[in-house]
Amino acid sequence: MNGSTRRVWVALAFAAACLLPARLVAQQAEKHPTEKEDPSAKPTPRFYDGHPDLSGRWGGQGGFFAFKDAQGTTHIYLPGREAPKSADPDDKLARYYLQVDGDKRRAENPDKPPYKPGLMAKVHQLDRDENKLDPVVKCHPPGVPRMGPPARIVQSKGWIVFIYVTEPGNFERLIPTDGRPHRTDLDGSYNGDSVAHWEGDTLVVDDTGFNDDTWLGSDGWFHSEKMHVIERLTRKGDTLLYEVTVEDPDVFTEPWVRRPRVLRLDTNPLDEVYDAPYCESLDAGHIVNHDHF
Amino acid sequence: MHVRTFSLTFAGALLVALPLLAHHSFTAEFDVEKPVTFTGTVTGIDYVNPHVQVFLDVTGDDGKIIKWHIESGPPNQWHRGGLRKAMLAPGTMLKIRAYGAKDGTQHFAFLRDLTFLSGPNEGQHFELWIGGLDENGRPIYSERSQQ
Repeated sequence: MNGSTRRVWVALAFAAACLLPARLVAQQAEKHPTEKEDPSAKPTPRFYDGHPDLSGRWGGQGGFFAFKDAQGTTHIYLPGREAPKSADPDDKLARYYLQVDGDKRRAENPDKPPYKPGLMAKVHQLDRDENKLDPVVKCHPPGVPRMGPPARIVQSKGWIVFIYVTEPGNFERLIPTDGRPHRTDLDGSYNGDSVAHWEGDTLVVDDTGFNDDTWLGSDGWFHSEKMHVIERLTRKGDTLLYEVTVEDPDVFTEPWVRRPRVLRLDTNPLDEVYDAPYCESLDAGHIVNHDHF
Repeated sequence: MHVRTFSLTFAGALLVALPLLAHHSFTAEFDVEKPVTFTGTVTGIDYVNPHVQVFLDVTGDDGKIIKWHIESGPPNQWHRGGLRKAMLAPGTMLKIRAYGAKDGTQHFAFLRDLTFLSGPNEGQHFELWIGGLDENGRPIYSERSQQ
């Protein structure tokens, strides 16, 4: 390399070094158009009684997303599913069907219910037969707490309404916030009987009166009718902290304190709750193995 | 690509509120080694959770009509991508790519992608993915294990 060529390379390298940060900043600004604003730093709206107003549409759309490429093809993604590696040893499904190693996922899951050791055989058996036994595979209601945080909250005087959108259907919970006790005249149900009160800026929802027809998750997580669920919802700006503890002395060694979740206020009209198509399992007869959802 | 990048960011930033529940695994019923491609005419659609079902008439090489039954993802997947039940009105011609059933059921398959060959949406092409990888090779999936 002669001197003039070296000078050209040095000049080019310098120019590139000068341009790089600006380009990175531009990419970041394009890639994270909303990241500069901390949604939790926004003012927290207050209800007329001074408590935070939890009303709103919370969270995303379950991992679904879509985009149109330069050729005009619309790509619509369903969140990844699980299948044993043996079903796809050569990764032929890669890019079409995301493989998740179920055994690894189970082993590494930090959010498992603390079952009594003597009940683990039952959990494993239900888990193995999940694609036939899981109530939601049969379009039965997922119930509380499996539905997770509500998709929409409507706050009112003395009441708060939680609305859920799930594949087995849309569900709602009408929860009194006036300090009344649990009802004692009800049979056990999928969502139980809920009452709520405020502890500072946190709404605490107490749920009892369940049936034992629901699971807590798709890995065979059953429960008894004695289940007791405590949910805590705290709004900070445009975020909602959702915490849940599940007690079930018949099946757990200790209360199951789930990982807290933070949801963001979602104002995208496409994400708004709509009347979901009904659920009907039409293809169960074609299942040929134990591959898990 | 801008739309995609934003969507990824958005999906990642928001924890999931809508649990995906009522599905079986793709590999519990369908075989990626049994790809099929054909052109058919829509005769009906069951727009139900957890799997949309599409019914088509396909003319075989001998001129006889074959009744095909195509299963897809949930209505919410269609909704997110702008694919609507009304777009598949009876009589609409589609080109279908799908994966056949493991249990040997004839003319039953899981939808991979579709192209409209007639009607107001003629030329539109939709690819329906399950999971998959983003442009950086990272897996795309929700925190479904929480449900």
